[in-house]
Amino acid sequence: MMPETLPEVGKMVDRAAILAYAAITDDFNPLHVDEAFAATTPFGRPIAHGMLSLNLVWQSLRRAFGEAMPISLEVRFVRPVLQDTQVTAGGRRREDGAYDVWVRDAAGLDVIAGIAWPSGAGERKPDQPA
Amino acid sequence: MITYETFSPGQVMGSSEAVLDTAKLQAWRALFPEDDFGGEMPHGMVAAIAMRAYAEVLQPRPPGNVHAAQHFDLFRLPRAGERLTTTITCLEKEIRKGRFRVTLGMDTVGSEGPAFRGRMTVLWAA
Repeated sequence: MMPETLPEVGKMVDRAAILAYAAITDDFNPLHVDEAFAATTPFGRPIAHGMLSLNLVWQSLRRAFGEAMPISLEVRFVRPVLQDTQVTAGGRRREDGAYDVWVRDAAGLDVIAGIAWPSGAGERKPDQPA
Repeated sequence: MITYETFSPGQVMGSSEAVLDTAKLQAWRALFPEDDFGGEMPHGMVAAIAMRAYAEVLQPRPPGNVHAAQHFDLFRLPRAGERLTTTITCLEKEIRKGRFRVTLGMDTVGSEGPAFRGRMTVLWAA
């Protein structure tokens, strides 16, 4: 039985989290880690790596479906996550069996939006490797 | 410097090797304590493997690139100790609304066979 909604998972995306994610991924883009550079951008302060917040979607999917494979996820990073933002991931089942997924900021605005295809959900299955 | 002009659709940009070692898993768990599955890689670490490959293969990059969209297909979760090779290919490039968009394919294969695949769209800064 596939759940109607996915468990919510939240996290505070602070500077420590951004720096830790930069070290793990070796992605030291100044947009993320350089506060002086970030101050010159339209954002005004550092923005988090999109994939940092995306992990909350993966955690939500893991809580719902365990380690079932294969699984596919497609997202757009629709709004930057500024440093020191609380974000929450969740999802809702679609008519076709896939799941609309999102990460939202404290104001409830989508920062990430997309679709997940857990194993057994919907007609579309992830392409298999050659 | 790798600029928008550098990319050619279909071009293999390079490969990156990484061992999924316990240090990487521990660093991940320090940031995401829920992601403790023993020696099994948490789902979200596909992003870490992909982004490390991106950072290693595509350099030097202009400052200010923006990650616009991402697709992942996970076929299996590697375990600690597995050596993973990620190959990055330029899939497409276009100028939309005056911004440079580059889409990269990322195929990760381990000693146990294909593990996951990604498709990453980046707003390239220069």
